[in-house]
Amino acid sequence: MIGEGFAAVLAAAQDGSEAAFSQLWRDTNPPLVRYLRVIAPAVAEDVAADTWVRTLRGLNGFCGDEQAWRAWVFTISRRLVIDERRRKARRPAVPLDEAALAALPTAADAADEALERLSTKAAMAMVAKLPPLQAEVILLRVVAGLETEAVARLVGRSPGAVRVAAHRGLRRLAEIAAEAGVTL
Amino acid sequence: MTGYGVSDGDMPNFRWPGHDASAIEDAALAAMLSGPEVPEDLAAGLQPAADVLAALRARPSADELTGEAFALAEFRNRVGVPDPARRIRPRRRPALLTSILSAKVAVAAAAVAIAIGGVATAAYAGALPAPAQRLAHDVIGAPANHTASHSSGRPTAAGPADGRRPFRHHHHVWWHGCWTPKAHPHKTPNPAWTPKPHPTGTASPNPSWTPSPRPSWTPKPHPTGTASPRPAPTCPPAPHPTGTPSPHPSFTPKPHPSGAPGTYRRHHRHHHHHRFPGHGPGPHPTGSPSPLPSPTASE
Repeated sequence: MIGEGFAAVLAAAQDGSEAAFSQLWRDTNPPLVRYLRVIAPAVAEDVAADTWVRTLRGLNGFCGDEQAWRAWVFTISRRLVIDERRRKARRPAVPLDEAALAALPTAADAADEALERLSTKAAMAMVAKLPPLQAEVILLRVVAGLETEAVARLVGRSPGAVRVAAHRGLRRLAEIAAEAGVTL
Repeated sequence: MTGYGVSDGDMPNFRWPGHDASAIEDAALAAMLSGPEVPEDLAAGLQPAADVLAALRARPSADELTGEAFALAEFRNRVGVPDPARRIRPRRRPALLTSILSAKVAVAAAAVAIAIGGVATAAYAGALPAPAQRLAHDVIGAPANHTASHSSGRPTAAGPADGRRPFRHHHHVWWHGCWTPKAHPHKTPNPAWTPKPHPTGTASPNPSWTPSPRPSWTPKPHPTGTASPRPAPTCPPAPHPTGTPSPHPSFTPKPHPSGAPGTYRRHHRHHHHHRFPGHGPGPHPTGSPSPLPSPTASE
């Protein structure tokens, strides 16, 4: 999260500053990709790119704080995922093997980063085992950093339902992690 | 131990299924969701979940930042210009211009159509000015301008060119049956001109003598044996009963040069002109009667 300097960064990006936009992107894109890799793993990167294209279309008209910014970006992304699911429902395709993609060699990272990435991927895999609403609520609350009310508006549920789903998801996540015995 | 005689401290503290330490855990879960700090009073069973959340909040990896170049390029294309609205306008302007132009063309076409229709209607009604009516007659076959062809007989301030009386004097006669000079602020009636007395002695508002521009027209005998209300228009009219010649003795309507019979409109106009008793229409080069009667004496 950028924090207090968000308004200045946003204004600079709206004025055309590439550095400011880069800061926005670096702050928003990683949680966006993590969120997408859980709810739409097959098209996460594509949807993330489309999300930024659409975000840039409305960047000059956006007005709000950092919470509103993130809620806006994740709302765009979520709607793109819904559109993608509808498109795939009309034209079903055979997805690539996720395991084969994971086995592909990646860029050489530092050992710590590799371990951290591995733990992050493991954590995301555990979240993906949750029911969809619980997983999405936990990701939006934890990864995107949105408040309960913002998440409720985004997923179209009441704040109480979101709170209940999050708590149930956390309990279930604890059980999954305990069962796996994985030390993250 | 149960029962009313047991103190509260001895009562068993049953935990309802689903409500076990829910109040405490909900607060801990809310704290776990809100921030990275793990609550100290976190239950041991929730520690794995706290670890998972910490892993989800880990700093971004390299593969999560690979799309930055694409995003920056898109940023330069879309937001990097000072005013993106200026780039949008050229795309919208042709559409707007086209719509405005098409609307203008449609309005102009409608106006032209209305104008042409109005002119045509006026031409067929004979309401156009003389030159325009003549042109319409030549072009679209509208009725010829009757009065325009009589421009030489049109009364002027000095009197009619062909010596006929002005219309107003005869109109007075038509209403009253006889000529009585009417006081006029500008013109004095010609004392030499006297209207011809009506054969019946009373003037008819619709005189029976109605010449037709068709010289060959002859009345058919009436089936009842009575005279037709439209006697033969063979001019000159019948000898006057009084024996005095007609005020317009030289009246001989000429046939139309073209020989074509007149139209209904011409008949109609002649009816109007021959409401003046005793005055036949003056000879006209076109063969159609003059709209103005020609008195015997010129003013």
